[in-house]
Amino acid sequence: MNKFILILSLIVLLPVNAVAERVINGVKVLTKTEELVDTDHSAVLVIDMQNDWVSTEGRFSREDKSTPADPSKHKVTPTYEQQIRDLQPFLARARKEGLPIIYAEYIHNDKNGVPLVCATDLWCQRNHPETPFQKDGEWQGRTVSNIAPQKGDLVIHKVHGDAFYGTHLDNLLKERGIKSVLMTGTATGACVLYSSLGALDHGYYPVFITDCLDPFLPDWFDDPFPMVASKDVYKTWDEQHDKRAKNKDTPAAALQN
Amino acid sequence: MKKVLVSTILLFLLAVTTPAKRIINGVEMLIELEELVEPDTTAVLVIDMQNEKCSTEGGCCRTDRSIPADPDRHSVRPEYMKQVKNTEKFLAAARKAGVLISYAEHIHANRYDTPLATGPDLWVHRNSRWVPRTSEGTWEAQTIRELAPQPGDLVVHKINGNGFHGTGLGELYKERGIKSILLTGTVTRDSVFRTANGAMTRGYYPVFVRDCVDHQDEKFLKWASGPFPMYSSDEIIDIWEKLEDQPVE
Repeated sequence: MNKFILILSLIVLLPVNAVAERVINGVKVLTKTEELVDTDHSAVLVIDMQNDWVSTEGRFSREDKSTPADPSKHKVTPTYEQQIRDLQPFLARARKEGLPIIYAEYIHNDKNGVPLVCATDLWCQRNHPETPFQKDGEWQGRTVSNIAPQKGDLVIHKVHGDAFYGTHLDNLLKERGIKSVLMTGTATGACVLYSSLGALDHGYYPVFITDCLDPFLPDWFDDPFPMVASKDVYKTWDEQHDKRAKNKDTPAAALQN
Repeated sequence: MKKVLVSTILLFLLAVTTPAKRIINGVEMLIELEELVEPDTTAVLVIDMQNEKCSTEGGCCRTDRSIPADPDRHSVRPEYMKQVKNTEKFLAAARKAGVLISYAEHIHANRYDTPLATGPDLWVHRNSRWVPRTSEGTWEAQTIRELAPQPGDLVVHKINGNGFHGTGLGELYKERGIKSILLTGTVTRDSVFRTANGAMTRGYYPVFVRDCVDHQDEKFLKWASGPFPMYSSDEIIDIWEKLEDQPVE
């Protein structure tokens, strides 16, 4: 009799716990937030949050460019203040959840100043008075100290907008069994967008963490990619913990034991 | 005095007419349209103009897919009519100018109907009423006959939006000394855009041919004209025709 109840409750519980699968053209597609940000197969990508762009001492904010940047005077520029405020707790929580954190830094020139970039990637800068120029090893090319990489994080250097092309990002993600890449950083309408296309090419879901990106979303963005605010990611992770804690006590787990 | 004046004017004219070299961060780039469509180093790419999407007999229009397509009844879908006309004219002019013509055709499943797509690529269709599905070797998977490939053209099959990913297209262009790709086809904000990114990262200039891509999303087109070169087919054909008129040296 006891066994019968166990099996009965199993049958009832299974469909409730299992996420409804979405199959398109014979291929399983993750569509629910809980699938897309699952701690078991998600990684965080922090794109181009380098001093040159984000710091008051960077190339774009410093008024007197004849003097070298002074890292001791560094502050986050007003444009990025809110984003950094949201990104800091997001990275902290993601680390706590055990997600791989990967920084992609745009490096335009090597240590000797030799260009590493393609003309085709710089074409969009052709009319800009000031173009980015991050030299390998220089302070300008490093991620701002407010969200600096920590021990155990990964840092890759990229020479295109797309963080997947010409880097070993795909290998790093594959090795860690990643399915979704939680996109954070800048510029949302350029490097983040192109890296998302790279993610698609390599079979990953790019998930835009809306408040951890700069606010300049292109106006044609309706929903080309999954978009979630960090607070909803936290909520999903909390629910996931609750569910997993409960599952430990379910008959299914009891049977397994 | 006159001589000085003449040479000054000459010099001035030269400076104006010679394309200004634009160097950014020590990297020289092509800016002028003449450079971007130079026949020897340019390829036209026709993206996803397949029966499945563009024909009245394609999967897009046949709600009952158990009834096979009837190629004899094919006509171009009204929404693609103008674009196909423009592209026909553009391809003819490109062939005349000796420009390489290439095609990227989207294949969703192989001959055995095994799906080739990945979940992330299909995510965008999660709420679609209709999802394109072309199997290799079927009539639906072919480019519409109005724009059909001719002997000598390149045709690659792609399994996602990006015409460069996993297709070998980049290597084929490299071997032929191609520098810029004139993008035509559909869907502009999906496959065409993703192929543009694929071209850019591989060092090819992606040039959108404005009236030979679909206009389903005007906002996207307006945005894309910022980071990418975008010209009308007439502007490009004009340059090719001028080149043909020039006497051979």
